[in-house]
Amino acid sequence: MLSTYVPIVGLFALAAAFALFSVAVAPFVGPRRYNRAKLDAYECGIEPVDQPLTGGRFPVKYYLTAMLFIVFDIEIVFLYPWAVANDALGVWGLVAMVVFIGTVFLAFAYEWRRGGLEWD
Amino acid sequence: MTPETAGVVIGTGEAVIFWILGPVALAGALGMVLSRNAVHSALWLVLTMLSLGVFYVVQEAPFLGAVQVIVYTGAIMILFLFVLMLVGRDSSDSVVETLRGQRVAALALGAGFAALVGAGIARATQDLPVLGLEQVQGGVGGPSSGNVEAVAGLLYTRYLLAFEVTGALLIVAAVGALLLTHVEREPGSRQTQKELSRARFLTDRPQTLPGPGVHARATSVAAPALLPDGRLAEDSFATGIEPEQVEQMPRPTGREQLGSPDAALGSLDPTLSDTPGGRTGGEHR
Repeated sequence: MLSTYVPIVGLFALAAAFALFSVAVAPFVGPRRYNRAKLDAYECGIEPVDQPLTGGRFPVKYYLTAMLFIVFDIEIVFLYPWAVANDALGVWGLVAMVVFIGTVFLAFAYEWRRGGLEWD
Repeated sequence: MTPETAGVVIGTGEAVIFWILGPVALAGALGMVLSRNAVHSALWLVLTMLSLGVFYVVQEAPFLGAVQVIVYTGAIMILFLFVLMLVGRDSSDSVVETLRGQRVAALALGAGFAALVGAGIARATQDLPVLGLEQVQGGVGGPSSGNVEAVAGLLYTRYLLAFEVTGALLIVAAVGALLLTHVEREPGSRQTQKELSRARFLTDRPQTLPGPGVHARATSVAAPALLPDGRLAEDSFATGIEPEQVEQMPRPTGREQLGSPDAALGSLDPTLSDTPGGRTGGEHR
């Protein structure tokens, strides 16, 4: 049974080997000719600073986005087994799923109506 | 394979993976608790969660493994990181005890909780007959119909209440996030894109604002273009006009503030000045 996953493990090993090989070999074989221009921001870019002015914080609005993402993520996770076993579950499963989606949609509709999805 | 031994036999592959990833998962958990940097903690937790996902897959529960990776390492971890970024990634944890005896109490309660959970699981599974995967999964569409079907058969019938309560929990989370973060605006107080555009075209400067770093310091045709290293571009000299030196903006953050990679490399022309175009020697040919 586990032998099904051997190609995935092989792929992981290949990816890791390639990454290690690239990082280890590049300093030895690659040319290194630095000058001021190469260290500059590209053309009209601004000079990079290591710390943004706001102290490295996100606007709190993103929290709402993350929360909605989680809500729909979990909804999808529940939808998947229901869809696979739909034939066996029948009408009962359909009703259960409609009630669940209804409750989740309630929150979404409320957020939409209150303007929580408008960015500014 | 008889039903009595079906659940007890552990394959070589499973054993190998367990003994490799078990310590890795444990190390991730310890690293999460012990690291000072909150972002490092989150990354250690990702390691543990991924290991658990592999464990699920190895125990022939690929659906749960995928859910573990998608929901926990995907969604939950993103939420953790968002909260970290909202609070500020440099906020260090306080070493001052605000509640007296907090740490001792936390240790005692943690140990007690672990003992309680362990004892509960041990009692519940003590005399449980080992059925094997095929027997357990034979719920919905006949014997051993599969992983996902078995989960669905229990989730939407026997554990229906828990399933619907999850929906309520999601409502609470989403509405709570909205109430905490959303700022109500008066209807109509927000300018639409059309209004903003109209307002801009009514000014004497209807074009878009310049991008960062491209403020022109001169409109004269005599102002030469600059090469990336600060020299003047010969190709841009206007015919018959002496190129005019334009006073440049000082760079917002000088390299000297960010350390000096130029000095460290040692191969750079030291006569270049820090302002582009302000080459002191005037060497442009």
